[in-house]
Amino acid sequence: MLNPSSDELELISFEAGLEPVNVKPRFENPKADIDRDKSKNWFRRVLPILMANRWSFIMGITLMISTMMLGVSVPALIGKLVDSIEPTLTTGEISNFLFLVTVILIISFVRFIGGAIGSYQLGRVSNQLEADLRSVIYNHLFTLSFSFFDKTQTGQLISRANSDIKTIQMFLMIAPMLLTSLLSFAFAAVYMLSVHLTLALASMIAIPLVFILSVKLRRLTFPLSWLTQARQADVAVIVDENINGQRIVKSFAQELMQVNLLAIAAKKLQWVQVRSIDVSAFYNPLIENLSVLGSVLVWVYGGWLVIEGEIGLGALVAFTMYLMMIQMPFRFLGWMLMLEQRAKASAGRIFEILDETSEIKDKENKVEMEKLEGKISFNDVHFAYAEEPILKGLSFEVEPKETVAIVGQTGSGKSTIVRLLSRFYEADKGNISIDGVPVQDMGIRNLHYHIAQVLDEPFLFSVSIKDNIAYGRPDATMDEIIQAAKAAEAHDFINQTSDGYETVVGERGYTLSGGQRQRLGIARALLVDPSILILDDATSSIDVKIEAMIHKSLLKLLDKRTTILIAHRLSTISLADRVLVLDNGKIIASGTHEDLLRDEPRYSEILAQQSTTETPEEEQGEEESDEEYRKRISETLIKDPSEDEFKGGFDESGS
Amino acid sequence: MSQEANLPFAGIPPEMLDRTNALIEEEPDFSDIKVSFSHKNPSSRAFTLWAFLSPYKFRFLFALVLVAMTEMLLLVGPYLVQVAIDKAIMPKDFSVLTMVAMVWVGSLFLAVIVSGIRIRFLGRLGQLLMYDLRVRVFSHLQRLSIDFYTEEKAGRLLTRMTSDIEALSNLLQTGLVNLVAQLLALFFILILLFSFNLQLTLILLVFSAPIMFGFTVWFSKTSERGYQVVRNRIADVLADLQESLSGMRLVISFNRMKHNVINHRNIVGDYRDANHYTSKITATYRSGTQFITTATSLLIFTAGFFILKDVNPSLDPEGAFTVGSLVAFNVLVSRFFIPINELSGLYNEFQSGNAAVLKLRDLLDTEPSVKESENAFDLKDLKGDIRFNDVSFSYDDEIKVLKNISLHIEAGKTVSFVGPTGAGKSTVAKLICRFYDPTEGSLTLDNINLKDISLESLHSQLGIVPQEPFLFHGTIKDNILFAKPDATDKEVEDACKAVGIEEMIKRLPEGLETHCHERGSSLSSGERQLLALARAFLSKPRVLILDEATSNVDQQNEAKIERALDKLLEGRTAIIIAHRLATTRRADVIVVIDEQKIIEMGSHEELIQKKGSYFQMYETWEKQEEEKREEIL
Ligand SMILES: Nc1ncnc2c1ncn2[C@@H]1O[C@H](COP(=O)(O)OP(=O)(O)OP(=O)(O)O)[C@@H](O)[C@H]1O
Ligand SMILES: Nc1ncnc2c1ncn2[C@@H]1O[C@H](COP(=O)(O)OP(=O)(O)OP(=O)(O)O)[C@@H](O)[C@H]1O
Ligand SMILES: [Mg+2]
Ligand SMILES: [Mg+2]
Repeated sequence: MLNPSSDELELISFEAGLEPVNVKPRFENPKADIDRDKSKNWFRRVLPILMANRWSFIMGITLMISTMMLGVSVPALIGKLVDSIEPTLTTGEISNFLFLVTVILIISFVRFIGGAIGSYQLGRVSNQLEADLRSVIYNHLFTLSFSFFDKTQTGQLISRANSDIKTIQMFLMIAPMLLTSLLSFAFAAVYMLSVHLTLALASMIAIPLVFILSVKLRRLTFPLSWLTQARQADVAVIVDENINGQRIVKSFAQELMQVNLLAIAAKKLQWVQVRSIDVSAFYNPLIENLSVLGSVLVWVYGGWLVIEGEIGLGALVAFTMYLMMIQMPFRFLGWMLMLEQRAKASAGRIFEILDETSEIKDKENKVEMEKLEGKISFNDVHFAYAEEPILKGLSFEVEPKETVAIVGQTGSGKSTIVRLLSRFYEADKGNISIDGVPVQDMGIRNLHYHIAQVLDEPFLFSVSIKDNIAYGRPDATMDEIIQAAKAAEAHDFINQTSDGYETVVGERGYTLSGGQRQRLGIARALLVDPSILILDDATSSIDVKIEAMIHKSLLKLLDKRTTILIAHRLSTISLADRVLVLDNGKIIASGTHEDLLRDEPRYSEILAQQSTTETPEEEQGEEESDEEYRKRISETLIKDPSEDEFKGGFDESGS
Repeated sequence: MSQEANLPFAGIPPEMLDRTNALIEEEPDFSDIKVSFSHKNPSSRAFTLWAFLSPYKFRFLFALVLVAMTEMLLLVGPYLVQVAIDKAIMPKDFSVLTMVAMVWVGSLFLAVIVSGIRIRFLGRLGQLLMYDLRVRVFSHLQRLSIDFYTEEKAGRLLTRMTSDIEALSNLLQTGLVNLVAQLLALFFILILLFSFNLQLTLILLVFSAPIMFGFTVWFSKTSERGYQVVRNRIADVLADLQESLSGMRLVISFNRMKHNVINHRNIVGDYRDANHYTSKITATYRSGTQFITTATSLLIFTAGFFILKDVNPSLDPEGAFTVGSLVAFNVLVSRFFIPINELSGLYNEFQSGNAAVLKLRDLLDTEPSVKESENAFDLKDLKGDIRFNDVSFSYDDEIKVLKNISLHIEAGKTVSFVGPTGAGKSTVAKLICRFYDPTEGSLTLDNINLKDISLESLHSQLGIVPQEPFLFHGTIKDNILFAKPDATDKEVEDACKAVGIEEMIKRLPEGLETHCHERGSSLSSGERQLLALARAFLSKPRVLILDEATSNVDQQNEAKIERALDKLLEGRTAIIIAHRLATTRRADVIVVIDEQKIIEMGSHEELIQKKGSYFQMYETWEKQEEEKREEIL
């Protein structure tokens, strides 16, 4: 009724119907995945993604290296130019001078173009790599099981996806630069050594020192920056929780305590940042000025050599320019090593996500079912989230098109049952099958295509009402959306909101009342027109009148499908053909509400109802049982209205 | 809540782990830090960069002096190069050369010390300011009202406290000072250049400098725009990720993966393109400046060459301008460009720092919609007599949610609100808590206008269990203790017993110390509600408001809770909102709300006798049970 009818469905490809899509892909999928072999080092694991962009990379690196080689000749040529001034002045023959100027100009122009293109290409590669990594991680998240999300904080995942990927990108962008600058070091060194051995050696005297210092600096800063990151995360977590839980903070007047908590976290952050500042205040000026010491030596010792006539002034000029070139990579190197270490750590944290696999996977020869009868059977199912078993040998069957209610105490495992049916978690033991096919053999998407759930917590996205309803079928037409909303009795209130179906609901839908949120949740499930519908406490915040109306429209829909209701309210339970009583991990009874009320004392206990037959007498001790308590209260209320005197303690409203 | 769990230690190399642990050992214990908090905004001044910095102006002045010194020391080198060439190398004078060496090394030594001091001084000052700012912004967040949090996206608010404050911190610690430093450097270098050679300096200023300057301005502008786009795009990427993660159960059960994957890929692709753009201009600029620098050298050499040619050395034996001078001049020229290039980076830093200041100003200027009045006083020993005087309310000034509500709830009574969904029951509860102020009319508590009671005293005596139970990341105990951090273990136990979760807690591997995951996702929906109830029980409020606090709890447990409530509520006022009429019929007064109004009010029996709307509701409710029975019989 809401979905294209079954013969229309055949026109649409079934596969496509499994996963409706309503966006046009504008970019390609990542061409490669990371290497799944955990034993390899981090760089080799990322390599396949890098290799997917190898042409850009090769082009970039070739351009960088060749322009670098061109660049190395510039100081030598400028040295020549300087040395040519004196002779030219005396001879007046300026063509040689102008020739040199032109050559240098052309070389540096070529270097400009080549360098720009080369480093742009390398930048592209690292950006592409970053984007690919993001997509790879995002895609991977959907393959993970719920137990993974249970134990992982969203904030943590987001920070990994943000700063850790950035660290890797940064390293991969800088690494090729270091590579080329190391090469230029080699060329420059060769030139310098060939011109004057001792001057060359003297000029390099500060390099080992710089190197040692920067390695030392890296050792000190690594833990500092790591701790800084942790302390920043602490602050972020406190802020995040206070934003999300502000109602609770306010309602218990805990503002001062929270501000104190934050002050402590901020103080810790301040402390570690001051420590980092102290370290860099000591090392950075030292490293910087030590490299200048090389220049001092070159000018003074070189100057002396010029005076002695051993080298020309031009060579000295060239020397000082080369000095810059050779110091660069060493200043870089310390930083680079730190970046590498951080990138490695970041990669480790990203791999932690990517190496996570779910035991819940499609089988090779999965069964794809286009239509379901909707027969569900659980056979001796055992399940535990951790050690504590939740389901202990649970068995029941639901016939096609039957409506069944599951009743049980809070925390007895009702929601767990439906999670197992949808394979959010895998049963530890036992069989769960639909139409005789074990759920493990069905394609997961196929399974979810046929099952629609209204979860016990009505989560709405902060998008328009329309998009929220169409969440499961982004390709649905407006008519279908309205029909679903009508079936869930949501149409009327939606029309009363400021922008109707286009109204954007606030964070988590909090600009709607609880019952309104739940109705949108129901509409969302109805729109996908599933063969099996699960309503997990889906009407707990809806008043009886509206609930009755929803039930009426559901009744029309329910014949077509198998429905599992989870409920605590009698009004909801009464909708079911049959009630299953869950207690202590097992279904202890099944039958109609009446039968159960008569035959199953535990059922009446759970519902806190007076059973129609006599109550078991054992509980007559001192402690009043819950049913009796309720009975007593309602009796006093009903039989003795005058006694609880009510002295008009309110003004009549202006009705 | 427990912060240690958030250390990003996974993947840290073992040697570094030891060092980091050693570092943590050194961290002083800050746990006794106490700051003050008031609902009144302590400073009425607008938040501007100047207002923020002015208390520290002398310290910044001192920092500037240090900066000026460092910059001068940095220029000693190029100056000495000129001296070395002109006075030592050309005239072949060794003694000058040794002098040069000594002065130079001395200046380096000084530079190390001065810039060390500068970094420490400025860094500490900056961090102090950041600490103050963090506490200030966070305190203001606590002051803001609930409506603010419903409208603003959580992710966006978080960036105010994280990346915006960091952008400002960068601006303070490096940006502002560097800006001054580079301008000073430019100034000093120009003086030196002019003193060396007028003609060459003019050539430099006329030909090269405008090109370099223009190029830099172009780059600053475009890259700033480019980074702006990058920042927006990455925010989109993260928001999309955040949304997928928090709705993961829905994504999977509704087969939304493919749609989301394609959508995310598009968003990431846009982000990548924005990055490509900035990469392109950065690459152009980097190589470009190098080219301009070399070309300028050539220009200077050529011009210098012609100057030398004109100045016939035989006519000018003093040798005022020599090849040596030319070389020295050239060394200075390459230094001349450094500040210009640096300024472009600083420009961007300044832009983003300034943007952060504006955003923070907006936040700090936002007045809480629920304000504590000037002469608000602490209400001691609340009795719980609540009065609505002709109250109307609207969330958005358009659609009225409540119209002319008048109501008196006597102290010590239990009042229950019923009505269809969306009628405004939760809104009534929020008004009593003063999460919102009524649009018209007023509320009084113990005959005092709600607006005259200090928020702290109001909220500490009033407990609400909202319709959306929220649990913090932390242990179960942390969550219960939230309402009353100094409660004893016994009190916590009693609260657990009262709501009937003591058995569930016993079953858990670590008992009260068990972590309940984000938003309590590892608990069942009923258990989450029970925990929220236990929290309210612990605080023993004078007025207790339960907004569908047991809607997901089974009836047996609910009966148990009701009994505990009876005990707890002796002499206290209670407001109970529920759809299960079994829960409500015990209340002293039942208030029926529909269509923004109170349509009926009275005890259960009175309302039944009245055969009005409550009677109908009750009938439907009963009939659903009856119908079932009849059908079967
Ligand atoms: N993700 C999880 N990790 C660990 N334990 C869990 C998780 N989810 C639920 N549990 C525990 O398993 C038990 C059963 O939970 P379930 O949600 O199935 O209860 P329920 O019957 O639906 O209860 P309610 O009526 O309150 O919704 C509870 O004790 C709960 O604490
Ligand atoms: N923050 C908000 N911003 C705008 N409108 C709101 C906001 N909160 C609630 N509303 C609207 O105000 C009306 C009353 O909401 P309220 O939450 O008080 O209803 P309720 O009686 O508690 O319903 P329920 O039984 O479903 O919880 C609804 O129409 C709702 O959409
Ligand atoms: Mg549940
Ligand atoms: Mg409500």
